[in-house]
Amino acid sequence: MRLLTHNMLSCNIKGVTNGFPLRIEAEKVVEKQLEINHDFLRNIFPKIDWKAFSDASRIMGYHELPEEPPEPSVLESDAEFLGKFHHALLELHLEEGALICPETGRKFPVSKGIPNMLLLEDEV
Amino acid sequence: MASALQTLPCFLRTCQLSPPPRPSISFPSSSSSSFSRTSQSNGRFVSARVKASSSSSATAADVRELKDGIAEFYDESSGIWEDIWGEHMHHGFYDPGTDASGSDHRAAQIRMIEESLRFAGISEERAKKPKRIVDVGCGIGGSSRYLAKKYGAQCQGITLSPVQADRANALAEAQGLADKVSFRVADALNQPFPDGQFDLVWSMESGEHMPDKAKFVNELVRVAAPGGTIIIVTWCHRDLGPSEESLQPWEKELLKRICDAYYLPDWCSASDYVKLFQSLSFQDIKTDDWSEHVAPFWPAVIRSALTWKGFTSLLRSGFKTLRGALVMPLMIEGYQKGVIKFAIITCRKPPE
Repeated sequence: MRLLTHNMLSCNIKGVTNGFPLRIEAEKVVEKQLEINHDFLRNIFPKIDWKAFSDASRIMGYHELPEEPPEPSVLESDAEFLGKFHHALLELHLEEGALICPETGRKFPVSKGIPNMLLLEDEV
Repeated sequence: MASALQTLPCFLRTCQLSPPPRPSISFPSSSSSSFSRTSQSNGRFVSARVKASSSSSATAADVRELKDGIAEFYDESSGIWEDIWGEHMHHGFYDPGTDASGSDHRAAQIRMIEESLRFAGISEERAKKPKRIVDVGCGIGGSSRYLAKKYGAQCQGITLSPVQADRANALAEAQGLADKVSFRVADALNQPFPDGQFDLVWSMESGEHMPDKAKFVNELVRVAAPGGTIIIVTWCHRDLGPSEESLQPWEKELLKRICDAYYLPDWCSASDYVKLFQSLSFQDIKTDDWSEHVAPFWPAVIRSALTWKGFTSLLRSGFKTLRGALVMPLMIEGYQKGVIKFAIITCRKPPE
């Protein structure tokens, strides 16, 4: 599971109002190279919840991202930043671990890179 | 080959497993909330009342068993389907009267996607085309990858089957789409996404698995962005006549046998879906009966099952897949007798 995906997932157990972002418990993180696409990064940047993303990247073992989101103009000119953004967003994979609901503490397992978001009967 | 297949139903009858109990559809009951909001659809004011289901509602255990059955069915069957038919687990779209043999079925499956997008009026213009898509009941991700490639969009897929999610992700990597599409195990009735995320909500032949159609539609609506489009392509039963409360007993019996094999809950009609959207004040609700456009499909699937490769693969795959294969003639019978309809329902969520 990439951090791009993590940035779109939330917990929707019945009654939960604050299900985003899910906290990451990382047991196994794998790096998989992917060709960088600057246009894609510029398009996706405004849709990313930056705080959730940069916090998550640190848990995954990557400490190069700033805590505060940069100005959009940085993406136009700063190739080094784009590389870091790309790496954290798309090249870090949570292979084994869990995603934890910030409100209830419920754990959603991640196995072989696939999060299992199925709810139990009493959570629905 | 054909005679061998004929002996198999006998084998099955003697060792009949009891079918899973099927949850019935639950619509909002008329006592608690009669949805009689008027909504504008194609310029006409239509007052809609959602009909309450007359049968008992499903227990949680029934639904759990259905979902487990669906996951196991697809865990078991996906591989053989992909092997013979490829990455799209849906009907092909054909011109009426086309013969099954000599048709390019994989091209027809692509055409099904394109015709659905066209029916819904999805724009390909850079500013208006979808950028975030959810594929609800994504199978091994054929639609997701196709849509992501077509629009350069982000696509999330959800499925109950871990085997399918795994395979979908692997195919995405292999096709160089790993940055655009991703798949996870999740429930269409409880999607793990915040509200209003997606400008295109795509459900290609997954609606028939949903035990609670109202909840299914509500979730599609919830995750759709304002101004976004929802596309449902699904198996339905025929619309009921004005004096009918339900299908005829023989029709219900036919569907029951299909449901048991494919892990389907009770069926609804296309107009049931339309009424659900009307009750939620949706715009541009459109529906059409595409049964004549999918007629060559099941004969073609049966033919593929009867090839040496198909037959031996079936015998290797397991009981669930085999049972699914044996029920295919019932699908043809259902279409021919007008009980089963292949429907498309599309609409747009009102903009903010």
